[in-house]
Amino acid sequence: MFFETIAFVLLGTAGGIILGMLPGMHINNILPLILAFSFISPHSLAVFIASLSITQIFVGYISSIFLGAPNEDTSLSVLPGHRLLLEGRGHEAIKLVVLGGICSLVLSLGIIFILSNYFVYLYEISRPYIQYPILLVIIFMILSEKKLRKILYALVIVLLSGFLGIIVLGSSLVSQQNSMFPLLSGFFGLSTLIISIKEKSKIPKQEEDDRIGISPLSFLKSVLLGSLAGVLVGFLPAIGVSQAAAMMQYLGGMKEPRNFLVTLGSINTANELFSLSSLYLVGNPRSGSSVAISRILPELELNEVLLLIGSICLAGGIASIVTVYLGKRIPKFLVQINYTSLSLGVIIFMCVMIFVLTGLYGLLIAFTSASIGILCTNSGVRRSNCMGCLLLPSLLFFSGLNPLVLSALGL
Amino acid sequence: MKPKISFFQIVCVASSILGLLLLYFSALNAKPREVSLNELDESLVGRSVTVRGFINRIKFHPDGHIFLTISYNKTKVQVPLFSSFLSSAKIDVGKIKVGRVVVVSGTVDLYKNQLQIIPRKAEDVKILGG
Repeated sequence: MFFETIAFVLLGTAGGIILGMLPGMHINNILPLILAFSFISPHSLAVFIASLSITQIFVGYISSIFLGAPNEDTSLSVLPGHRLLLEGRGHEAIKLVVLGGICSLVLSLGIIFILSNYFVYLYEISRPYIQYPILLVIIFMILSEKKLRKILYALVIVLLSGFLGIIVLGSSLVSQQNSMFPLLSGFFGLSTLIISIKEKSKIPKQEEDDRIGISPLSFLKSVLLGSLAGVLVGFLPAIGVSQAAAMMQYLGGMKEPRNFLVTLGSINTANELFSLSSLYLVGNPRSGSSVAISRILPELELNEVLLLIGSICLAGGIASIVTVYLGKRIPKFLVQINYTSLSLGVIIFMCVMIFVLTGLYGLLIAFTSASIGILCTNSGVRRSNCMGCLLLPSLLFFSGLNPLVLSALGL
Repeated sequence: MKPKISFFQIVCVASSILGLLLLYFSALNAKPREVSLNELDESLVGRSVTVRGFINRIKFHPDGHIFLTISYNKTKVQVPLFSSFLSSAKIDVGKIKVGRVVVVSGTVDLYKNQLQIIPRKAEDVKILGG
């Protein structure tokens, strides 16, 4: 049993490395395929999924930061990560998200242990009020642009992306399972790549030193806030990692790219760990991989949760070493090749993937969200305003206005 | 000084609005697929469907939610009507009675290994009669 578990952790880690390196790919895209392997014992398959899931989060930062091609979990890392890459600090960007993630692995375990008895109570008391922090984030997001002209641009961007989010999430154009892929790829991935091509961006020679430009106190604050946010959003329905990161960016004062990368790394890992724990604690799967695990192991017991947490820790440790190693090697390769051709290649790959997973409507969604993303950069306002695509639908859902708005729009 | 609006910005605004309009009108015409209850399976999770069946069981939750079980030919599916949905969709709760035929449109979801259909707007739940 022990050696079988280790073997499946290693297999899952290897699978996660391949998946993470493919631009825009997410474990949710291949879960139906994995679930078809019913001849493998349920425990081994669950260990494989948990290991693959955590590894693809870590390795996924490479395609997100270096290629500007994110998946659902890493979309917000493109902008601060890309900025550091263009300053010659790409490896530092990778180290920041990985360090944030690995520290959060330990910290979020502690948080889950302390809060485990109160989750149901927290859910009950917070559920009627969730719309208020969401509204506050939207107002903060717009007003933080400071100048009147930029505030107006930000308002337009939030409304355009919000309307797009309402159409995509409120209609049957694409499967809800894959709807985030074209939406976030367009806003954060394709738009970045198109701008890189237009501006003929080149990756500068990367600095070799191992320096990390963040103070220990600032780092700790970012990890703590990220871990708390990752765990807390885990039990709130309709609030995902991206919304949590956007909320932290504005309410937690995490606007500085280094702080934000650490926070994002922490949120992703904490959320992954919590999604699994919530299966046991409240019987509610919170991510694609935990839904899959709940189907393999319907009556999850404590020893099985511990087995999966152990697998995640081992796979996370290996994945962080691999990611930091690749994060040092890949930029050396990237500076030698034509970045415009590479960006074009990644755009074509992502469009093909979007078409395969979501069809023609998916391509139209990606085209529209990429246009809004480019408009954002061109207007000089922050691209995170595009998170209106998730925040506005969440606001409508929690304030109970969703049925009214959908009816008014005829959707 | 007047802020300059570049040609690129105009193109972006035009393509954003064009894309939004195309998607909006496509969404207006995209009707949920009508399936019979026994065709409903996990491959449809996340898809919008319309199903028809008899109200088999009604469970009232203290928080105001109503959980319907609808059935047809021994196949059953859950339809949760959350309190926020009930108040904004203004559904006549008095019409919801066991044995009545109901047509429900909504997103297929999997909750605790059980398929359910979540309606989103008033027109998604039509109670037809006995």
